[in-house]
Formats: sequence, structure tokens, C-alpha cells
Amino acid sequence: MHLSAFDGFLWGTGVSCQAVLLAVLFFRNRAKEFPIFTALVGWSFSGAIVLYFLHRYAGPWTYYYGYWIAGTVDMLMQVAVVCEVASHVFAPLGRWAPDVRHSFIKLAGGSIVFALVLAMLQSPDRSTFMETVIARGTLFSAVLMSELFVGLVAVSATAGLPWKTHVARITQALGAYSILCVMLDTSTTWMAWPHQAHAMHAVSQVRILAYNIALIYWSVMLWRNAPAPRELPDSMRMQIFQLHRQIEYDLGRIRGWRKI
Amino acid sequence: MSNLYFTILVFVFLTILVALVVRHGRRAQRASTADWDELLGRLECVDREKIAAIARDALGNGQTDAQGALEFDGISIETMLGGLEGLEKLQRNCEVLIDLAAYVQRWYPEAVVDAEQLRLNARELEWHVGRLRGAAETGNLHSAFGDYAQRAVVIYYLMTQHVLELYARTSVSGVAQLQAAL
Repeated sequence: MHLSAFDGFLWGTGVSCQAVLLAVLFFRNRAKEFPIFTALVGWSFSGAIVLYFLHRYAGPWTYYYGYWIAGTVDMLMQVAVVCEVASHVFAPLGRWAPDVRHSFIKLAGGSIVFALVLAMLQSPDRSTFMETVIARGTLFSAVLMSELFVGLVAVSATAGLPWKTHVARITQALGAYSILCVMLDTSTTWMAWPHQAHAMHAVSQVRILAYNIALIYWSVMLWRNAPAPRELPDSMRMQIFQLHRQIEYDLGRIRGWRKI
Repeated sequence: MSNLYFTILVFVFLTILVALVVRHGRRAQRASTADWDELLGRLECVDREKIAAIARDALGNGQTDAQGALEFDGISIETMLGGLEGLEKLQRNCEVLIDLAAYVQRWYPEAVVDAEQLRLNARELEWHVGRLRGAAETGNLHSAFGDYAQRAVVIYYLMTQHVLELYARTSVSGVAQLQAAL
């Protein structure tokens, strides 16, 4: 397999952007806040380097299997990032808000079923069974991720839960990238390897380019600090705590109240 | 499935996703960037004296007879609130109360506790209003109104007290304006 100059450029910028993003995550202490997202970026970074050497020095089948193993792990880690984002948004006090837990479970279940149905309905123009499985698997992953990210936005807005700056930026880019991937994977349904290899290659270049743009966006946004907060003085905190207790007491009475 | 139908299906799917993001994203954006006047402008006019009277009656601060019965029955509560429409106004105001708490949270992240409490209270109020909507559909609104509506009013009243207290404690400007609006 031959890599064009543009392929080399995409690979080089991708690895550089991943390295920069990793540096930002560690130097700005974001890795502690987003450990799974950091692991995803780290995995993509190391995967890109390993795959480059496999492509250069190993046989095509070794590269082929390496690529899809890395891709599968990448997809599972993206699902884990969705859970990480969800825990930031839906657990503002450290535990999941009781009214959204059920909605999130339904969202996840519904998303998996719908993504499976859509992937099964796809009839990609591929010559081998394995190629068909890969095309459907890629579409499944993109549909699932886009559904989950849109679902997170919808559930949080319905429940009135606000987004912190960095969580919102991670979600925006990953969500937009997933939606673009759905479009690209749908376009490849019309293509067959022997005849439209160039078109399929161009689609994969667009995908890599979009991911590189997302990496740059994350690096800039995660480098920036969220708006500086102020701290509540102890006396205020105590007064608010007492107010909470009073309100909880009043509400408790009303919840158990029966009209005479 | 043919590629054409499949592409149309994906197109419809993506259109729905984008529409959902725009719709819900706008709501989230409005909540996170709204300025003070905009927030107050979204509060719908309600009779706070009547709300306070209904809430205090249930909380035991109003007059009760010798058996401890409440002063207001379902019919009088319905009249005072303006029926289900009046309660729906309170429900919409609850969303503003949550946004008001989120407004304080921009400067004091610790106010997240208050915002979360208000959000859960709003969901509880929503539940009561939902029950009344269901009762209206089955023609039982009047018999159910007193029970659910008074609970909803108490929740709303406590939420307004909570927000006023939060603003007073955190010294975020606009308490007088807020008091007038609520």
C-alpha cells in the first residue's frame, strides 16, 4: 500500500495534534477531571504510531487486523466518554440526579437498538462478508455516538441541568464528528472497492481531517480556563444549608399530607 | 433495503438529530447566557398574595378550624389560581427560577446545590400538574384539583423563598427587583 503526500500530511498533523492535546490535558490538569477522555486521546495517539509502523513494516493483513482492533477499542472508549460526560452533567452533586437516571438508561438502550436496526438495513456494495461487517460496524458506531450525544443534550435541557464549559466543548466536537461520520458512512454505501477505491479513500481523508480539526478545537478549548468562580463564605454556606433543611422539612410535611 | 431508501432514511434521521440539537441547545444556551432583565422578563405574572395564602394554609400558618381542617377547599383554590392554566403558569415560572439559580451559579459554583434542589422541586411540581392534566382528560379535574394544586403551590412558594434567600445571601444585585417580580 502506498501513502500519498497528503496522507502523510494528515497522519503527521493527526499525531502532532494528539500529542498537543495530551500535553494540554496533563499540563492544565484536565486529565484528572476527564480520565476516560484522556485515555481515549492517549489510545488514539499510540494507535496511530503503531499502525504507521505496521503499515510500513508488517504485511497487509497484520495492518488490517491492527486497524480494526484499534477501531473497536476506540469505539468502546468513545462510549465510555459518553458515560463520563453524562456523569459530569447528570450528577451535579456527585450522585446521579434521580429524575434523569431512568431517562439515560432508556436513551442508551433505544440508541443501541436503533443503531443496530439502521446498520442492518444498510446494504453496502462490498464483495466479501468481512467488508460488509466492517461497513455496518462503522456505521453502527457513528449512529450510536451521534444519538448518544444528541440525547445527552436533549435530556439535560429537558431536566434543566447546566453544562460546564469544558464538558460542553468535548461533547460539541465529538457529537459533530459523529454526525459527520454518519454522513460519510452513508455515502460509502454507494461505493464498491474495486471501482470507487479513490472515492472511498477521499472519504476516509475527510474523516481524518475532521478528527484533526476536532483535536485542534479541544486543545484550544481545554487550554482555556473556565470563568473564574468565587467561593461562598462559611457563614453564607451555613445559612443556605439551614434554608435547605427548612424547605426539606416543609416539603416533607406536604408530601405526607392528606386533605381532610 | 435499496441504497436510495436507506439514504433517505439516514437523511431523515440526521434531520431529526439536528432539529433536536437546535431545539434543546437553544434552551440550554438561553439558560446559560441569559442576562438579568431577560430572566425577569420571562417570569409570568401571578398573584403572589393568593399563592402565599394557599401555601401558608397548607404549611399551618393560616387559620384552621378546631379539627385542623384547611381553610381553602379545592373549589376556592381553583378559583384563586385560575384553574389549570394558573398552575401551568407556575410551572413555566419554575423553569425561570431554576435559571435564576443557575445565574447565581455563574459566580458561585457552590450554588449548584441550590440549583439542583430547585430543579428537583420543579420536577415535583411538574408531576402534580401532570396528574391534574390527566384528571382533566378523564373529567375529574375538580375533584383532584385541591389535593394536587395545593401541594404544587406550596412547592412553588418554597422555591420562590429559596431563590430570594439565595440572592439575599450571595449579595448578587437585583434582590428588590426579584422580590417585586415574584
